[in-house]
Amino acid sequence: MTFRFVGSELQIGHVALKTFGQAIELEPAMAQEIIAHEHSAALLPDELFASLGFTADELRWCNSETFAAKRAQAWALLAEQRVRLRAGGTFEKETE
Amino acid sequence: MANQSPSVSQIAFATTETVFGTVNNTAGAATVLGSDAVRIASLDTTASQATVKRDVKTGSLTPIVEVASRPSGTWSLATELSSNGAAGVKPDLDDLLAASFGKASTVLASTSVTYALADNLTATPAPSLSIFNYRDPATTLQQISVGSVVKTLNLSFNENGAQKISFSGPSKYVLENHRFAGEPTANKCGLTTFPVRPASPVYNGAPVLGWNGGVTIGGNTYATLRSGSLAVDFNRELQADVLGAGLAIGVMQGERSWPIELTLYADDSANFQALIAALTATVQTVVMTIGNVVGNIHTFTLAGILFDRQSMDSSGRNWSIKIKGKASGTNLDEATYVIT
Repeated sequence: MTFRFVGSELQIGHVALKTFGQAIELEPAMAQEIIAHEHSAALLPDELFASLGFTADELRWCNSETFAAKRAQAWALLAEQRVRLRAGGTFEKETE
Repeated sequence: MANQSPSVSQIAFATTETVFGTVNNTAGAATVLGSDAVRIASLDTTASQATVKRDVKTGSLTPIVEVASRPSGTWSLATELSSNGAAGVKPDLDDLLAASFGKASTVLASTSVTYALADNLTATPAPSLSIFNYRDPATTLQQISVGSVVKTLNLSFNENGAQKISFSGPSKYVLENHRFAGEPTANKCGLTTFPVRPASPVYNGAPVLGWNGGVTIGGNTYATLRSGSLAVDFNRELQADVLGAGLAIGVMQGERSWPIELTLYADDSANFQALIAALTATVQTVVMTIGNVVGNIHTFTLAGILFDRQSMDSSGRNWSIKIKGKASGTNLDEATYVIT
């Protein structure tokens, strides 16, 4: 399953993510564990990330007001996702 | 040939204990996940158990073998100050910070994480931690500092590079894989097997950089702060002096201490003159902000500080002053820490 990174820095084992919007493939069970955790990894399913409509320029510079607004939306979705996962929900519900 | 262990090959995990001095577990198997990892600059978990001399005469000048004292432990961990990276999500350091302040952090989703103080004088004991100290290879010495409480928190901030934070304190016991099989049940701290390190440690967040910060003192903003330090003593110790228990049975606490030291350039501004006039005369609140990236802004608010008179510092090209004081309050209001 493809996830997109919406934080500042993340390392899973020997894989490091340092770019906002960077993609990573994770097994759903692994993703569930690290996103539902109290120190949630800042990852959104690819389709959900795409729904936020980041432009290439926004992701390249990460400093515009429109970027900041969309990043805030991403973090709100991240919080909702974490609550749902901790309650036993799944990623699939996210993209319905 | 035996394998040695490179000193850089060390991975730490921290979990908040549900019961003091017991590693969270399911049927004796430790509950520790990759996401419990904490990135470290250093971690020492020291098993303390000296041998003590026996006070008997043997009729010989040859010393009689000593006996073991009651076991205990100490721990210290240093790392970079960092957030999760996403606003309103607990940082990897959350367990350590919550154990410092005395209660769980308060999360405002996608906005902030706040640490406020709790005394834990009655029913709820001060939080304790299990700190897992793994080295490579897995067959070398591995340790778990169990019943670890935070006694000191040190934070230094300056204009250059990542900011450092460190914690230390006593622990009930330091479990070791090489001794585990021979330990009495009580010393196994709830476990039946020594846990294998989680395969994929997860680290969240980038360090906060020191030059992106500022300070207000008594409501005035000072843009000339050069460095500072906070050296908190939570004054916790373990109760390890009772008969009938081979290990500590709980946590005791005394009055906290929040000393802060700031170094600022001296100038002739009205704000600076007001600061000098207020030393030893006016109780002030200091708000230290480190970082300017949303999701990684760290704000420490220390109230009730009556600063000593300044000392002059000529170590740089221009004169600076150093001021020292301690936070105070009336009830849990001397300090808060907020990540936004």
